[in-house]
Amino acid sequence: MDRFDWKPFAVLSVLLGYLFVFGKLYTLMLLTRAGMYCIVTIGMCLLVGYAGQVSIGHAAFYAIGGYTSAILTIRYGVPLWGGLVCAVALSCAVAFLIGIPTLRLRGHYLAMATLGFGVIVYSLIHSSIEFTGGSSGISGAPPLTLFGTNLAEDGGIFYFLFVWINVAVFMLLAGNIIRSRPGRALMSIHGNEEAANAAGVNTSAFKLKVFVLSAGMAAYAGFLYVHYDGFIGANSAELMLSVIFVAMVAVGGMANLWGTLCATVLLSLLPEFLRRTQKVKAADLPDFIHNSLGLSDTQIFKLIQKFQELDVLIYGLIIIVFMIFMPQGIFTGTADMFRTLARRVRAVRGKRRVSDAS
Amino acid sequence: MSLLSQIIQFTFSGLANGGTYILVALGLNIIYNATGIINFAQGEFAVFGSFIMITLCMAWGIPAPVAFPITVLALAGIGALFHRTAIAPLKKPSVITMVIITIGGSIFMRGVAMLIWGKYPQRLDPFIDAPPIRFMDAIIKWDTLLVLVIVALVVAALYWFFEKTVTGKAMRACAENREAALLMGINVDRIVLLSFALSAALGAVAGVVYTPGASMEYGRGPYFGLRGFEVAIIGGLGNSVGAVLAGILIGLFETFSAGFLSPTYKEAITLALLLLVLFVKPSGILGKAEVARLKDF
Amino acid sequence: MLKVQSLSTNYGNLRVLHGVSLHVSEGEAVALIGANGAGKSTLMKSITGLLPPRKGTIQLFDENITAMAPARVIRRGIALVPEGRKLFATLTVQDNLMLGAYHRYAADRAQLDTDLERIYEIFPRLKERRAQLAGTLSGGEQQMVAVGRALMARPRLLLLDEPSMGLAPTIIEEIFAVLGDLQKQGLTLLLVEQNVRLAFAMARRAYVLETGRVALQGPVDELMANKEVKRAYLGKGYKEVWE
Ligand SMILES: Nc1ncnc2c1ncn2[C@@H]1O[C@H](COP(=O)(O)OP(=O)(O)O)[C@@H](O)[C@H]1O
Ligand SMILES: [Mg+2]
Repeated sequence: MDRFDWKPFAVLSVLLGYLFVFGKLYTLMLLTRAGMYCIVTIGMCLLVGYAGQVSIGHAAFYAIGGYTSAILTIRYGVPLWGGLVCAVALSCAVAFLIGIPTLRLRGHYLAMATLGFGVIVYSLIHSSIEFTGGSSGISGAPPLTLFGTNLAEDGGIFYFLFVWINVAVFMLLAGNIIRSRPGRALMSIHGNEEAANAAGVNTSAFKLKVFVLSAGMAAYAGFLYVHYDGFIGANSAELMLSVIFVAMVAVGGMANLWGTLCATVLLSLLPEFLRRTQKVKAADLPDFIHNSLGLSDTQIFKLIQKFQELDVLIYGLIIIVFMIFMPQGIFTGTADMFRTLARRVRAVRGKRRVSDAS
Repeated sequence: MSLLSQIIQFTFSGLANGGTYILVALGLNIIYNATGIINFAQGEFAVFGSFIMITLCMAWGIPAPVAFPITVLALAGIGALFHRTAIAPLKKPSVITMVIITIGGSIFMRGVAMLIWGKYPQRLDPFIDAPPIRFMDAIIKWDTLLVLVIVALVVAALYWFFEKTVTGKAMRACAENREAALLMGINVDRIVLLSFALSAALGAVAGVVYTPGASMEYGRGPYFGLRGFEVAIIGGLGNSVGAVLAGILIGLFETFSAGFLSPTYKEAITLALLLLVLFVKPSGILGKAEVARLKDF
Repeated sequence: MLKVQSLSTNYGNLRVLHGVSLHVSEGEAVALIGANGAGKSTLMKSITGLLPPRKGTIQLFDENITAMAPARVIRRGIALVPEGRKLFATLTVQDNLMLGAYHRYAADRAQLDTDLERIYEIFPRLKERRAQLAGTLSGGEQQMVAVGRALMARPRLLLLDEPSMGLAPTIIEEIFAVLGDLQKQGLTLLLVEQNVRLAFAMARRAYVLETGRVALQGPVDELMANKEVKRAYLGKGYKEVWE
């Protein structure tokens, strides 16, 4: 673990490079969003997976970041970097204040406290209409510019690159934290705090640091989002988003950064994938479906339309299925699966060879 | 409206809401006591209960007194199914995986509710269609009184179940000491299944008493769930007497703060109370956790 | 009556019992002694089905009850008074006793009150405290509830896991007097004890368990004479003899 693991980076770069050259603009946009979520979930992975602290309220920090920067830059003409600093600082400050009492709690109590916090922030954003625009949100946030270029121009290719470079930087940062002394101590004993404390690691300080860091990262992602889209609404603080963040970490295998990254990209593309299926026309479907179901074209059309509403349901299903069948996460889980498969195949081949020989 | 009649008005609607929360919280406690799991899908049981009742009454025209028990039974089945499909197969349950898996379950159920009943709110006719009682300018609906009666009856029935029946005692025994319960020949797995069924049935009652004269939409689960958590925590997790007291408290607190402080920030204010209790006294208002457990029924 | 043959039991990957064999005949009282961590409680758990063994067999009369679920084991007449009593602390004394008869509750309902009275005759103190929460009793009274609860199952074979642990001598005497009476009335006992003198006063035969294996076995008087047993289990009073 001490040597830098370059392989995943290489794979990622090749994939991203491919997309950069051949990808459609729309795909780029989706992946830019996914990259922003990755920034949130990398922090969440440190918090939930490594420090063992569940948070079901991280969308609140994402929203705080986005709203702070949007309000400051639009209403008060603050420059972008000012918005960024304030967004991250405010989010970290809130996380610090909330974190001190919250992180004393454990298990279910911690989950409920963070959940309560998240919903409070949502309802504050939703209700403070003069300030946040309530349910209609805020629009018109200035686009992000770097070295005089508007990153969102040209279909956002540069934005895409910029976000993913950020993801890479945060991955490195997270890796360093995991390899740091307190990080290693926490990981090696699987979040057993008594043991860590006994080993001389101040776990509560470490937990608070990770909590504040993850809140700051979420805020940064919110900032990136609002200056990409120009718009932010109360749904950015929704409970569902917080839950999706946790789900991404869980599906990734909890204490697994690369798994989290994978799961984040896949899960953020899922609603889009389902939306695409809606475009399928009833007539395109093979005859046997019509025949075997005995449905008319309009009925099938309605069914297909319903299909796009399935994203909520499928999210739920994915979480349950992963927790039950692949608790080690998508990355390790798939690798394990292939390994078992390979072993089986080898065993079968071996047997055959033995039987051939005899 | 005079201050006094306002107070009367708020008291009644606060109690009615509180009654709903009590039922959700008792459902949470039952599962918590039997398994140590907090079921984050508890609010979804209430939503399903409400929707099934709406379908039975409004679409199929079944009279409410018949539809009500059908709904409760249906939810008991759903609760049992939830346990069998989502909870029981888990090999290495830890608090984190349990939190995440029950959240997964709640999202799944929300998705199903949206698929079946659509995205728009649905209405349920009042149970008692009589002109409301007027008492010093305060208007009290008959349904409000009915809710209070139903909640009182359910609480009494639960008390009877856990204090007087051998199955109820066996359920408490499982909660208390799983291994000893097994030694008594109690089928712990079946008791846990039963606790999920019972808990879902309670959720159904909560959903049903909440809806008449109002409406239900698929996304309401977290609202019920959060209020249920709040009541359960403030009453002391697993403590049912505490839950009843805390339910009344939260119901009143919510309506009075909405009425006198700020209707806009009702949600935030009510939840702030949850955080306050969690930070100051996570074992709940009834004091030490051990004492609270001894008072459990 | 009970026959355990080369039983091996694990906690996860950790093997705790390594091929333990023992037998108990009907009407007999057998003692099982051994140091802390020898695996005595694990053996009790294996017999009652709480912790299914990995290897070996357990036979009750002619029936193979290996790895049978606890609910079925108790129906066949084996009850365990577990280590540390494991009462249902927030239930009343009477409820605890009644739950002891859970497995025959529906079938035997008319009989239960008589059985309960019998327990109260054996332990009159419990009758006074019938409505009290079990968790609020003294240690000795709790042990009485634990024994009474197991008796309510109407066992043919009673397993006791260190019933004297942490109790005052007078209480121990009282409880062991009761156990002695029960044995005379025909109840078969398998008694796990660290207090070897106590165990040997009660039993005819004994097994010595050491790190998951039966190290010694035989009639109690023979074991009493054994130097190893004296040194390891009979403590100070025998020290001079050994030295
Ligand atoms: N729940 C458990 N998980 C893992 N190991 C256990 C567990 N219970 C007991 N052990 C281990 O099994 C061995 C035997 O324990 P036990 O049967 O309780 O011994 P005894 O009752 O003779 O004191 C000990 O080494 C103990 O550490
Ligand atoms: Mg022991």
